Amino acid sequence: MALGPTGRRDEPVESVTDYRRRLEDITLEPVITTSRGYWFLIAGLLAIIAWGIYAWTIQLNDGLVVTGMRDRISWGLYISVFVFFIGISHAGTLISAILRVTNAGWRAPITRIAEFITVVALICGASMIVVDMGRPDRLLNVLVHGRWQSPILWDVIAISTYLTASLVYLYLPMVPDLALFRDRLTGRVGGWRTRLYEILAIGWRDLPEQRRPLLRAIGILMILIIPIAVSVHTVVSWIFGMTLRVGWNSTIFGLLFVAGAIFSGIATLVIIMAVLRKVYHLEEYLTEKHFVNLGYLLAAFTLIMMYINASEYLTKGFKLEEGEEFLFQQLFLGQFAGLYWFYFIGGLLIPGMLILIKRTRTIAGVVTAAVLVDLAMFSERYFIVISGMRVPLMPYEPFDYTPTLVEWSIFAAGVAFFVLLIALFVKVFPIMAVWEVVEERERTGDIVDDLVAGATPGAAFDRGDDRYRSREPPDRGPS
Amino acid sequence: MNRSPARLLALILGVALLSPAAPAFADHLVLEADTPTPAESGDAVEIEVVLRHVETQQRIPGGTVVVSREATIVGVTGEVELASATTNEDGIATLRWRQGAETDHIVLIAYATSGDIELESTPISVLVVGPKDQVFRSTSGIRIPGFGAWVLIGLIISVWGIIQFALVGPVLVASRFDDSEEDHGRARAFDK
Amino acid sequence: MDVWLVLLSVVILLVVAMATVLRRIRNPDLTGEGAITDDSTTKNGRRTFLRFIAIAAASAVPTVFLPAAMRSQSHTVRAQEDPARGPGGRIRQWTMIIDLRRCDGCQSQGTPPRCTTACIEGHLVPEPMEWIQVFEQELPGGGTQFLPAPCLQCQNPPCVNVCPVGATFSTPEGIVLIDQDRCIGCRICMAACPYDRRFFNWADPPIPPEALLADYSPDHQIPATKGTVMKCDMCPDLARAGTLPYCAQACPNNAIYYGDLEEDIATNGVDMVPVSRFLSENHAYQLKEHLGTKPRVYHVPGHGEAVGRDVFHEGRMETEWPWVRRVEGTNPWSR
Repeated sequence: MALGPTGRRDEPVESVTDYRRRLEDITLEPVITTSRGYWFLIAGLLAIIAWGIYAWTIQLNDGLVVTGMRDRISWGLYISVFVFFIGISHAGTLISAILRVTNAGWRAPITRIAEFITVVALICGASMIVVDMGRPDRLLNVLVHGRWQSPILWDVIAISTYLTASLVYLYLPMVPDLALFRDRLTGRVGGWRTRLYEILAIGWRDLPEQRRPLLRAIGILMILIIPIAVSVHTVVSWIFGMTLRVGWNSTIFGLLFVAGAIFSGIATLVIIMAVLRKVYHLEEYLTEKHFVNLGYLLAAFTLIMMYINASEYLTKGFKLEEGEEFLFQQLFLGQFAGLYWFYFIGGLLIPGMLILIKRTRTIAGVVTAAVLVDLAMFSERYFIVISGMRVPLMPYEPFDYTPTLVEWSIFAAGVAFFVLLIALFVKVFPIMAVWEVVEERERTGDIVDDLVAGATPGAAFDRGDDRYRSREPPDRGPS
Repeated sequence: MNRSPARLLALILGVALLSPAAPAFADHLVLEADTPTPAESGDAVEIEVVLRHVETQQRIPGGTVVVSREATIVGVTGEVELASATTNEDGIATLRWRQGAETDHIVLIAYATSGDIELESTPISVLVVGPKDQVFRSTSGIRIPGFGAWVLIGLIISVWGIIQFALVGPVLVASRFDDSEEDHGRARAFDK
Repeated sequence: MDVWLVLLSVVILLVVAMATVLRRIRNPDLTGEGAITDDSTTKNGRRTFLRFIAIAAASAVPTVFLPAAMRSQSHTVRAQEDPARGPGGRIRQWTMIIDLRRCDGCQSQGTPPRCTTACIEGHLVPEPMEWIQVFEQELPGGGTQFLPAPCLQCQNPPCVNVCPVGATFSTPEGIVLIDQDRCIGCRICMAACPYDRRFFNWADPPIPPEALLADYSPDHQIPATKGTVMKCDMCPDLARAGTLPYCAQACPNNAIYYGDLEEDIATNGVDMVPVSRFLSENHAYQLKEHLGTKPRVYHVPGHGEAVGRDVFHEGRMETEWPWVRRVEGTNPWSR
């Protein structure tokens, strides 16, 4: 006998329709009502972004001299943030695509958020690159005069391909939910949103003739997007890996960056999931099991990262070629020691332990681990870029780099933009993939078809079940 | 070996100036040298010279023989010393250098024996076979997108094509039902 | 060729989209209810067609990428004039040989290194760039040698290989130049150069009034622009005019030889040497040869002994930028 909705066997099992209805209500609610706290958040984010734009105008006016970068360390915070954001964008690919391909059903409530993080992270990452350019007015030169042999052009191609594929991959599974919005929200939200849902739902009536091509397209994309995503961060790593600098001239860079990307992507996903779960009362759908599963993935990736780090540093450290000794000295003992050991201990060892020890394997534990991982991965991007640049190429004393206020401001604006886009998304689009979640619950037998449930649709509502927060009477089906 | 049987150019130069410290027989030396076979730019050139006393035909060992030519580059004109050697006990020295000039030119072979202050010189003409291809090439113009770039382009077109195919299909099919008036009565149930 | 490829790719994508549509229209997967009535077919057909056009047009967007680099490098080599040629007509392959036996960092002169100063004055190099920079390198037994390093004009140049827009390019003479009108300031070339020989205009570089009207060209990097990269260009304008580069002219010890690998001669202004023999007999080397960049600049090992420098006499005077002082209101950035 199936378990009831709260996991007890003696509860009457919920019918599909009821479950669906509840889920729809939860999904619709953020779009219908907006709290004051939300407006405060938006205002704050816009203020930070405005400050960042102001900093950028200063930079456009005076040139990149307002940053801490100079000839010897010519890449700094902007490039580190760019790599970090592109890394985060692998959240969606892992959850939506890989877990979909491996038929891991528990991913169903998370996929929408994950896919959206991908898109937003790619946009933020790409804007960081434009900020770093000395002549952003000549951006189109990359398209008009682009050289196929350049790692930067590979980067542009890979990121734009990934962005397009992610947008399509975000949109297609969202069509049935957009149809839901179109049907249930007409008249309850502003005119422009109604029109938007109508257009985007492309006449979806949940017919088999419509479902078939949709599922087929999703199937094509879920397989295609995995190599695209892997290629994106590999190509980003090759911007460093294709140079002759000590610390960057390594063949393992592609692997290191992709693993780090998935790692930080999962962590970011966990954090955003935790926030949304709290704010929109998604406790029933984003359960501890989801967090724990993501935590296991995090733990697996800490091991992978440790292995790659060991490969890289042990093989180099055994030989200590010219320049490597300086790199190791500054990385492990000197200037960057704080960042490196925070990354290794705080970002790999401690999160791994938090998850592997049963006592800390809770939602709070996993979220803590995720926060540590995100901070650690950011510092990893930073010290890889700066320590690589700092190794002297000719007989001169090494120079130092400190980001200036302009750089920090623009970085803060980038993060604020990231959060802003997610906040806006939540207000316009469905944050749960309703049809996928319902399908998954049905597949695991936790909810059952209306007839099998032995109750007419709406029985729970009639019972006065207080999980039923809908203000409308349920659809009783064709009469 | 570049011994040319046909031509032997030997000029006896009257030695007008003699250092007082020069040995007495310095003004009667002659330098015989073969003409190098016509050489291409970048080739190795090798000739043998013999340093002899004119009258006694005695071979002079220990003489210094130098070959040079005049050249001009970036506005500077000067003599380039191409090779130098010392005559052995048979009075023979072998001079080797790398052919650099592109047009027919004259090289001067000069000699001095111990005690000589000045070098007497003999002009030898060197024929250059030309025009020849560049010996050194610049990498300019070699960055035309090669095979790898075509593979990349093909890959990108394929990937974008698949993405758009995936988008176009469902959108068009779904939109076909857009103005259908019938509700089908099962708008929100699943059709197994 | 470019336009051809744009059209080809647009056609390919349109064909893909068209095939999808035709397949759908021709084989409708309808079963039972939900069949399209005849009335709505026409309207649907038109709508479908319009949507197809929109999607196909959108799908043509990425083809902007495609023609970008179908043009060969010969389009991107913006040679200003015909390449310099030797007397026989072959293209000059410029090379530089720096005889370290004669370089003492201008210690004996009591001035900052003259090569650097001449280059700065001649090219109006913004502070603090040093296109030819005199490094002081420690020797195995202690003591130092001075190592003037211009751009090494590599034949496998990492900077040219990574540039995304072809703003830096190799000329037929083997020189690597930069087109500041195309440079986007991404600075990957600076990350790629293993010799630290590229410099960035972090702010508006100072420009004397007379230079403002100069015609910029990659051969003659005046005036400089903010947000672009600059470096030693081996003075191609001087070479074509028939004079030595500024650094070679200025060296008081005639330590810098400039010449042609093709004709196999080089001169330091006073002496003329056969390059091949000079390099081999004096055990010349290239900096960081193991990296495979194939530089065209050679160094003959030494520590200034030919001009009487003692190997333990360390230190040279700091480089100066005299012309920058003469331009008002300049605010140089730090190195």
